[in-house]
Parts: sequence; structure tokens; C-alpha cells
Amino acid sequence: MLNIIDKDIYTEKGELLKTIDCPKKVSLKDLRTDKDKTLYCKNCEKNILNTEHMSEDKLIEILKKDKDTCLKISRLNPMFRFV
Amino acid sequence: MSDIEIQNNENLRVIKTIREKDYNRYSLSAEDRDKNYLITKTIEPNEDFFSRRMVLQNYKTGEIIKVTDRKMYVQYGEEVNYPYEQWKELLTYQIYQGSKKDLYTWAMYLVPKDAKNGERFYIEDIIGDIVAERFWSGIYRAKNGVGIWNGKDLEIDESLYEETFLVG
Repeated sequence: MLNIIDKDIYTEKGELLKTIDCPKKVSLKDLRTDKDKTLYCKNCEKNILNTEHMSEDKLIEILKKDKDTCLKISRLNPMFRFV
Repeated sequence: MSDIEIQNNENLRVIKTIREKDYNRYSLSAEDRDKNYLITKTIEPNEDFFSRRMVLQNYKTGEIIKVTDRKMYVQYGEEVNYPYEQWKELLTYQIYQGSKKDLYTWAMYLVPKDAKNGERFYIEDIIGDIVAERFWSGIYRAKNGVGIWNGKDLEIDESLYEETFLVG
């Protein structure tokens, strides 16, 4: 399980993976869901990773490669613990 | 499936809701009737809460399963496929993921007669089904929220449910 403290995402070992901080304050209205469930941000014109259908290991791997990857996280997702 | 709740963080005046199932001749006092607009609504299904389900049978094993689609996303990442050549479709149907028990009944909001146009109120029990969140195959309704008085009705501020997501 990943911990989210304020807007920081940490692994269970306490390693900071990413800070969720959209400078453009994107809301759901700014996102488009494509047929293959890809999320596209109309503000930045780039894809957003929807963590809804993603494994924890895969997400950690992606964020370790690129902390600037944009994410969409639901508070209902049991992969995350909101502290 | 539990409803999504938000708090009265703006310290707004609270709107009381009376539902048909709880109503009797003593539910409203004379003061309630005199000092409030009684905004009464029937509760009908919201199209957004219907979702598809399928019953499939495996040609080879005879196994019967219930799925949301021939291609399903499952927990933690992977997708499962039920191809036409392996699975016969026995049935496609729709389920309603809103609050079925309240459908085709009525309910009313008690809005104070001194409400100003544009005033925001906290509604503890929203009448009808409003989508607060979608996650995996679930559609979650809003239990409570903020309504803005427009002189005739309360318009629900749906932007507040976006707080159930983080984006960035």
C-alpha cells in the first residue's frame, strides 16, 4: 500500500515517489477518457495515468523513472492510504 | 455500495429532507410549513446509474459467469478477456446502481423562506441519485452535498465531488 500524506506519495518504506501538485489546478472536467480508458488532459495536451486499473508495483516502477508523470487517484482506491 | 459523503466545511445552513417512507401527518409542524418552501420531487432513475452486465457461457467447459463486458479491467492492473469464440452470450442486461429503494417515491426539501438567490445550503440527504464518483465498475451516489438556491429549487454543486480525486 502507498501512503499519501498531504500531497506526497510514499512507499511503505517511506520513500517519496511523487508530489501531486498540478500547477494548472486541473479538474475532472479538463480530462477526457478515450476508448482504451486512457486519460488525456486537455490543458497540458498529454496523457494522465489512471491509477484505477494499475498495480502498485507498476506504478512505483513508473514513478521511479519519472516523478513528473501525472496521475489520477481516487480516494476509493485501496492501493492508497490517505494519512 | 456506500454513498459518498462530504462535510459541511463552509458552515452553511442545513436543509432538512423528508422522504415518503418517513412521512406521516406529524412530520411537518405548522411552523415548518409556514417558514419553509416545500420543494417536493418524485424520485426517478438517473440514466447515469445504469450499467451493463452480461451472462456468458464457456463453449468448452459449460461454465457460466457474470461480467461487465467481454473485456474487463480487474483489480490491480490487468484486463481479462472473454472472446466470442470461447464464450457464448446468454444474456445482456442492465442494473441500476443508484438507490433503488427510493425509486418512484417522493421526498421534499425544507428551504427557509428567507433564502436568498445564490445562497448555498448544506443538504444532509440529497433527493435522487447524483453521481459523486465512478471507480472500477461501481457508480457511487452522493449522500449529501451543497445546494444553491435559485429562487425555485436547489441546484447541487457537483464540483465538490471532484475532491474525491487527486489529479497532478
